[in-house]
Amino acid sequence: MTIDRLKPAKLRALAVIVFAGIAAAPLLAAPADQIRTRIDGYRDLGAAFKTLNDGLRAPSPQPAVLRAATQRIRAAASHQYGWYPAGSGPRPGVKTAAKPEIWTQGPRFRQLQDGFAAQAGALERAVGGGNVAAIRTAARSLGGSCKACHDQFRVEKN
Amino acid sequence: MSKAEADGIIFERQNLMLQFDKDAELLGEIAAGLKPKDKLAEVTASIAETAAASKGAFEPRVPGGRAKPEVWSNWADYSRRLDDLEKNTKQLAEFGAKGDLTSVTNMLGGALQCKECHDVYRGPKKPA
Ligand code: HEC
Ligand code: HEC
Repeated sequence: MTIDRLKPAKLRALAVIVFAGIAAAPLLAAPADQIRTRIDGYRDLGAAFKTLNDGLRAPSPQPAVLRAATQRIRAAASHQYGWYPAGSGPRPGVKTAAKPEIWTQGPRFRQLQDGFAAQAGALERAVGGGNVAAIRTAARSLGGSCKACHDQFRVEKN
Repeated sequence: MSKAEADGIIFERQNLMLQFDKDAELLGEIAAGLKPKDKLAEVTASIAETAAASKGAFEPRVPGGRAKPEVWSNWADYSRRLDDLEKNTKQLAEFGAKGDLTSVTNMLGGALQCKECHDVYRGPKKPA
């Protein structure tokens, strides 16, 4: 079928469908990108937290290493609030460990995000203070805030 | 100790175990010839580092996660297993550093003892 043989009304309808198709394509791709951003964000957070803990196990921890890791953790603590747009939850064909309750128990989830952000701030202050024992305690408490959220809102693996 | 700190201790030992899992998988693939051996030194060093950190991570008596209470009530046995793991993986990393894949592969059967320990000291996965 060629376009010039279509009636104007049909042509308009066709244009609407084609346009909708173009517009819908990125909309369908978006959740996958949003989930990618979230998982990459947590992966970097996990790596930064590992760097911090490895650094703290050294006989004499390097302040520069601890500071750099803490900056990455602080960055994640502010970016996390943008990682859960509506529609980026689990659905068939999408790989995510985020539980659907994140979007139905907003206030509880937000509380855990705030808990993590608060512990990240406490870690930054401890690192600034330079007392290794205090930094270790702050790092552990920070880890507790990760676990509290994972226990409730992340699908367990293995 | 605060609840957050206690949770953090559990989180730390679980992260060490997850690191073992990731590294052991890669090492298995290298040994099986599925992955090139250019990461052999790095991955065996990482396993040794994780093993060296494990005893300290389990030392605080903080039950929880999937760790059975026997970890602490049988601490002599449990910590001996972690000491063995540390010793064996140190040797593994020395072979790895030399690029000696044959010796690494020969050690794999006995050096890690992951399942042997889990059978005794790790509880079942929590229902989702
Ligand atoms: C408020 C909730 C929350 C907090 C706080 C939180 N996480 Fe997570 N984390 C999640 C969720 C949900 C996922 C699963 C994301 C997905 O699969 O889409 C996740 C996934 C991860 C992953 C796996 C990424 C991958 O490779 O699939 C790592 C690593 C991680 N988090 C580390 C941490 C660390 C370390 C902290 C603390 C410093 C932390 N998280 C704090 C909710 C949280
Ligand atoms: C000496 C005992 C011991 C050895 C050896 C050991 N594990 Fe574990 N592992 C444990 C215990 C105990 C737990 C439960 C920890 C918890 O949840 O508090 C565990 C948990 C795990 C988990 C689950 C982590 C999670 O939270 O999802 C994995 C994966 C794992 N181990 C992998 C390994 C691998 C791979 C090896 C070998 C390289 C290994 N383990 C060696 C005792 C051991």
